[in-house]
Amino acid sequence: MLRYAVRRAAAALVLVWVVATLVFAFLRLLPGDPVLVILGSESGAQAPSPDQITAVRRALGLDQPPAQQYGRWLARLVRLDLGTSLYDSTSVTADIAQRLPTSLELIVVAVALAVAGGVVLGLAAARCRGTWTDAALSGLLAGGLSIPVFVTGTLMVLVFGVILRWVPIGGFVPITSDPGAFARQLVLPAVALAFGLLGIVGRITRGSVLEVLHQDYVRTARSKGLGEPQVLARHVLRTALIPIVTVVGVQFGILIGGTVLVEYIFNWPGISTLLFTAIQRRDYPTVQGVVLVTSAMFILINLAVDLLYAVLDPRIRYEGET
Amino acid sequence: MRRRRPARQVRVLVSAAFVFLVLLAAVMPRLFTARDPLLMHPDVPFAPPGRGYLLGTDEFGRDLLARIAYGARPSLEVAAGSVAVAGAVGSVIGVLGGYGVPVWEALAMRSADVILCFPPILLAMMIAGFLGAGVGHLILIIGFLYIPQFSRLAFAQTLAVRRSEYVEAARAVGAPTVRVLARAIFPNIAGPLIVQASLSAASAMLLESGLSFLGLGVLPPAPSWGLEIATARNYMFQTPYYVLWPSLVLSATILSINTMGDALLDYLDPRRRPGV
Repeated sequence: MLRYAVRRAAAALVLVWVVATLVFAFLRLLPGDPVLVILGSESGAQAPSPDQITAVRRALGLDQPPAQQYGRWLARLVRLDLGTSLYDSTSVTADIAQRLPTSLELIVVAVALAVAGGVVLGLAAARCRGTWTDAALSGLLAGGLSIPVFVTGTLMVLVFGVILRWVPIGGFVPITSDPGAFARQLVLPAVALAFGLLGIVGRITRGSVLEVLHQDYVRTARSKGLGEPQVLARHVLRTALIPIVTVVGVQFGILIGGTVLVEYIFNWPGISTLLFTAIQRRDYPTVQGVVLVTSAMFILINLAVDLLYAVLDPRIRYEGET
Repeated sequence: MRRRRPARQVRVLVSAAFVFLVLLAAVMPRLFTARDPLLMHPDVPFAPPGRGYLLGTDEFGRDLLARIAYGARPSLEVAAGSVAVAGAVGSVIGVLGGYGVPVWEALAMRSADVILCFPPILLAMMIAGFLGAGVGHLILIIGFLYIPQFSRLAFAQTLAVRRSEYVEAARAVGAPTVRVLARAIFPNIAGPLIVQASLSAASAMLLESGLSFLGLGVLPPAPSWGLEIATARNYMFQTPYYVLWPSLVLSATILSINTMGDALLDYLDPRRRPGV
């Protein structure tokens, strides 16, 4: 197990390095002078002054030879220094550190809602397989998978915020200052974000429950007199949980995508809102930082899922080791 | 099991019919409306749905039905275009890699690993933000991002069939590698790739509409469903149905494509066929 973990961790580290290199190279791969791309000279009405060009060039370190730029970029990364924002000269690392927890609060609540709801609905659909209940639940789950998150979010604002006026339609209150208000603000964005993942978790649950429901060990559990809830909880769901763990990890990228749109709709001051404004301001160091941090998180989560998977299913550890 | 089948068939048929209508709108929007989606009628902003304007008008008095009908084209162009790019590049890389052609093997797996590290929408936002938006760019960006979906599948499928007898036979009669790949392997793995194409198309549409919603996709004044929803959001308080139409059409289209993809998947995989 240790050897497997070390090998996987090393592979993840290499991937982080590749991603960092690509994010570094991105601006230089674009057609044209990266400084002019950032200053938006192609679309802007007035041409940037030579002073502006020199300032941006220096701020990005583009006045030095590429090899040296790359070396400094990696050296700074090791110290977790992502540079300074072109817009207001604040530290990108500090900006991200300030916004990240807000996004994570939203994501954690959404994942919890989606997993709880998806497992219950998927299990119910599997148990009623072939009936209209199954058809209705499967339809709902397919809807979660297909309806764009910004449509769900917008329609929820319309119904619960504008027509019914049950909850506030956007904004943010820190959990430390007023937990009640924080929770009220969190409801709509979290549910909107959870809906998509709910569809995926529900379908996976339905599929894997159907697969194990008629296994011998489930029949054994029933025949030794266990009640139905116990059979489902201890024998069926436990096996069905493995693919669910994987899918939540794999779907993290999609979840981040959903977070971008949900934060935008509900004015949630998280990392995606930071990215969005940074793109509009063409603040490249901030864009670079956010993309790098989220991708690294994505890689780490996949690593965690891989390791968890290996703990749950010993056969995986030995794959490729012979 | 008996009751399950009609429900399924109805769902698939309705989906197919809807996708057909959307395709028709993308090719010939005039079939659905005689009005110009860009023509402004400043005297009738926010007209309610009714006899004059079947679905109402927007803030400039433009006909909403026309805007929805004409909005089908950019969405489908991006979906079809990006899946074509990803499918072509991904299948070639995957088949060559799966067949064991030296460099391609590493390229197929490692490139997929790297592309999959980036959450798709972030990379798309970054590229579109600096390269500029528009249908052409969207096709290239999403096409690039979806290469792994095809290269991984083609890789695994090729790996599964490359030791089969018909491949050995083709090789034994001295067919060159390209011919073995194109005539013996590809036709036998095309099924799953086609299913993947339909699922990828739905997801490309989802991505495109999200980017357009953020203003990083299809550019105004061209009618696009994602863009339309973003604009309509600002007028939600006055005219709720303005945001409702594009939301319904976009969701129904993606749902229909997904339903058809699932049905294809079930059809191709006997284990998943209902009633077995």
